[in-house]
Amino acid sequence: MVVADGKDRAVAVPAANEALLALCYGELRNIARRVLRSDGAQLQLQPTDLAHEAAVRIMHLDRIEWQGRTHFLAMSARVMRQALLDEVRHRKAAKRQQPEVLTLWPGGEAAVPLDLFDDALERLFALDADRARVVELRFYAGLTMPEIAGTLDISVSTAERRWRTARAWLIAALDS
Amino acid sequence: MGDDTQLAALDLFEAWLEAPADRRDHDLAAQTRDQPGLLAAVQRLIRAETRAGMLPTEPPEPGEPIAETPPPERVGVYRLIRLIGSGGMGLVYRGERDDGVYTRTVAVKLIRRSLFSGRAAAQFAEERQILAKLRHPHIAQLFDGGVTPDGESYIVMELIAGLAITDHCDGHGLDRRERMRLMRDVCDAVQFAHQQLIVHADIKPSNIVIDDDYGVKLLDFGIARMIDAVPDADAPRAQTPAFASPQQAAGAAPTPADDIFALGRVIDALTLEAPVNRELAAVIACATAPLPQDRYGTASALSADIERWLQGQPVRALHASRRRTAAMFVRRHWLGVGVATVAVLALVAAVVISTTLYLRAEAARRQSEARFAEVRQLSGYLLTDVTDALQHFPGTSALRHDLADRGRSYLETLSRVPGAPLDMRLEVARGYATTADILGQPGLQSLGNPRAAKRDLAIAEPRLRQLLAETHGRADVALALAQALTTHAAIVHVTDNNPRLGAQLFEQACALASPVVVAEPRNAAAYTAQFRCRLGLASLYDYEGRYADIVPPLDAAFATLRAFDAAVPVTPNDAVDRAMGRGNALILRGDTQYYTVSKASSLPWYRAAVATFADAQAKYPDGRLLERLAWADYNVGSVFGELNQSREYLEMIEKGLATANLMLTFEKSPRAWRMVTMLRMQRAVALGSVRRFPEAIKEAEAAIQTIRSLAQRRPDDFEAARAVPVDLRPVGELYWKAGQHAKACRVFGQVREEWRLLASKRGVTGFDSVDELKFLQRLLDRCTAERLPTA
Repeated sequence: MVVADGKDRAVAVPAANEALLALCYGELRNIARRVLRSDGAQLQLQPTDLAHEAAVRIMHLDRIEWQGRTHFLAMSARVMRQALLDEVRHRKAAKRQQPEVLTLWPGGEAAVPLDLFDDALERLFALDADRARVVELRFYAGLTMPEIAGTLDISVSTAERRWRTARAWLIAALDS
Repeated sequence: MGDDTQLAALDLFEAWLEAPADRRDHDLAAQTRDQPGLLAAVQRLIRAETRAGMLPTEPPEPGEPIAETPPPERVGVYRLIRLIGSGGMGLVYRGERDDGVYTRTVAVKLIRRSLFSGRAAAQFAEERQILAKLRHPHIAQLFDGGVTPDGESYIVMELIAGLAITDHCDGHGLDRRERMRLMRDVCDAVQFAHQQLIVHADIKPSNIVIDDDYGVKLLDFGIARMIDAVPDADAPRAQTPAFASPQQAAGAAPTPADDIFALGRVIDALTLEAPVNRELAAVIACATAPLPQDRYGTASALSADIERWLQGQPVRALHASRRRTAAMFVRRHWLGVGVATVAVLALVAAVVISTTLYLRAEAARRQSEARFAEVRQLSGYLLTDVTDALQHFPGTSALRHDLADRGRSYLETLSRVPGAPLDMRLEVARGYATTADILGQPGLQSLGNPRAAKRDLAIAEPRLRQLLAETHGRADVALALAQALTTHAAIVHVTDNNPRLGAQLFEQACALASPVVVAEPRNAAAYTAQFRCRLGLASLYDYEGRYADIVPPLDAAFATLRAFDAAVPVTPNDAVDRAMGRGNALILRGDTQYYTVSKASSLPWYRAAVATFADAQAKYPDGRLLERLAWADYNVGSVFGELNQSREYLEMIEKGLATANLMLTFEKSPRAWRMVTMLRMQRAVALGSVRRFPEAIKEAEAAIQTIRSLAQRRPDDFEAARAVPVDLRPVGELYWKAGQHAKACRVFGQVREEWRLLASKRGVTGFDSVDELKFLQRLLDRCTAERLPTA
């Protein structure tokens, strides 16, 4: 039950931008470090776990008042991606023997090395940023199609069309 | 392959996806004519699409905690030895204290939802301190807790060796009775915590462990709450969906009612396989009712019903209204007033502590919301359920008033917090009406302090009117005001002897309740309120001896009952109340016939009342029904008496007396005592009517002695005081009939003195001044005529 809602939440930042989010980069690196802290040669992880962990933790910080989980996840997808990859590369450099960091597609069975997947996504960004953005939101932020459509301000059918196309491209790219 | 080709391939592939299946390959061939590289690129995408399942579209729900994180080797003064369990909330390790102070083996729980920063960490610490004070043999003790340098929070608990209750029961092949015995212990532990304002908030089988040495142990008490105390609107809650009440699932702060719901679910899970048991099914249904107010009021009420089931007695869930169920809390501890008083005072203390906590925690608003909800619920509980329950016990009027007063004053404190919801202000106003009801209602249990009652009503009524205006006539506010006016009407009528104002107030109450009945034809509370004011008005005329005026409001009351029955089916919870209402109306109807038509014509109505009470009593045994049944028997019997059918008279009174004695074994309440003594006195009169005078006088003297001692023991009970002159008069008449006129006249003189005493202390009801005192005067006149002293 909310008794006196809104009093101290009213200071919400109306247009929290990605620059503000960058303030959280250090926090995200810490989360990524915790997620990746394993001595096993192989680690399977789902970036959406990272996303939810980050949402839970960062939204507790009093620095920024977020409008909601979806908003936060959409905005932080890129920063999270950066933090995760930086941590992976850092660990590879430190350990030398280069442990495989496998990423497990959320909800699927396919496990692919995270850096390969991210390289492919990066190429798609260069080619067609609109379609790549849908994948980024789906994969790194764990958003659903309606949430993606809402975030990008496009129709759900457009989001789904872009998604199917981008997905086919990624599968083909990962095959080669 | 250039980027342009790839981009073109993506567009063509998208067009191919959208095109009708029978044309798309043809279209694609046309669009890629003379561009074999482009066609190959699109076909590669089409082939990839057939394996789309490897990257599913819909993301899964947020996963289980990432277990790969290696644990710290130690937290605080505890060394972690090995992982012994994991759950939605985090991982549990066996730990050992090894700082050289002393050795202790403990369970250390690392909570995944971590990183409590600043304020949140302070809340976490405060919650931990509260939980650490919770000590009960069936609750796993919380020792310590904190935050690791890595930012993970942890708690240190008593290490319990045992199986989850479900596994324990299945593994040992326990039968249903043995399972329920364990659940009774669980309920008692939950009750203990509730009395200290601690809600478990995540009761489920895996949190109930059976320790080989110590029996039931409840784990994680209050832990879910502690974690949820961290502000977090969107993250999944710590509680477990299958055992969470609808309110909790909707995100409301956890309350004791949620724990009762979860207990019901656990009982359900434990007794699934055995054949359906109607009584047990009713217990589960009552515990897991969708609305908190329909559930058991307390864990101990649930425990009492389990005990009843174990003893082979009818369970309250099936046979009693919710209020009666709440009464079980007190009754269970009822060995004497002292015990109940202690139990109840413990509750009062809990509310005081909790209110203090609430005020102290105000800065940490989120946490305070949860406490707020708890204080509010417990205050409301004190105000209504406990207070109602206590009315069945002699000598508790002052205590009941004190409780209601304190419960209300806590609510009043809370309602002054800025932004307090309207509902809370409504509860406070209702609280004043409740105390007024206890103080002034001229019923058997009242304190008989009409002045104080009117003072409370003077606060309640304007507030309710204000709320009614603010809410533009919201139904529940209108009904609350109707109930307050009904209470007020009864006070001004019976104790102030102001029937004109009483009638006006009853009419006002009806005017508020009736539109609600029309607007919400399925609202049981509306019918109840309408019935109460209509019957109240009819009783007012009955008391006043205006028998002709009884008929319109009484017919209206019967109309309410018919509409009620047609619109809202009787449930086990309200069956008793509804039967009581119907039976009372039938008795009133009998009174009307008796006074306006003929004595004999009242008999069918009184007998219908007997049948109504007896029928309900057979289906839903309840002390109140026994009392009414005895009263209806009394009415039938006394008509026979006046028709000089002496044999039937004595027979009926002895039946009523047997009923009243049964009620007395059911509950040693003042009501029961009153009914027994009244019927004993009637039995004496009936014996006199068949001229068995020695027996009659012996019975009458014994009865009056009990009546006097009851009045002495309960100095605050108006009804007990009134019984002395009322029942002394027939004693005198018996002496007169037996030919002992001098003795009779001395008794009549005593009756007159008793009335004078009562009138000076309390006032006399209209009925008494019209009927009793006039009748007494005729008896005194006879003594004067025979020149016999009356003093």
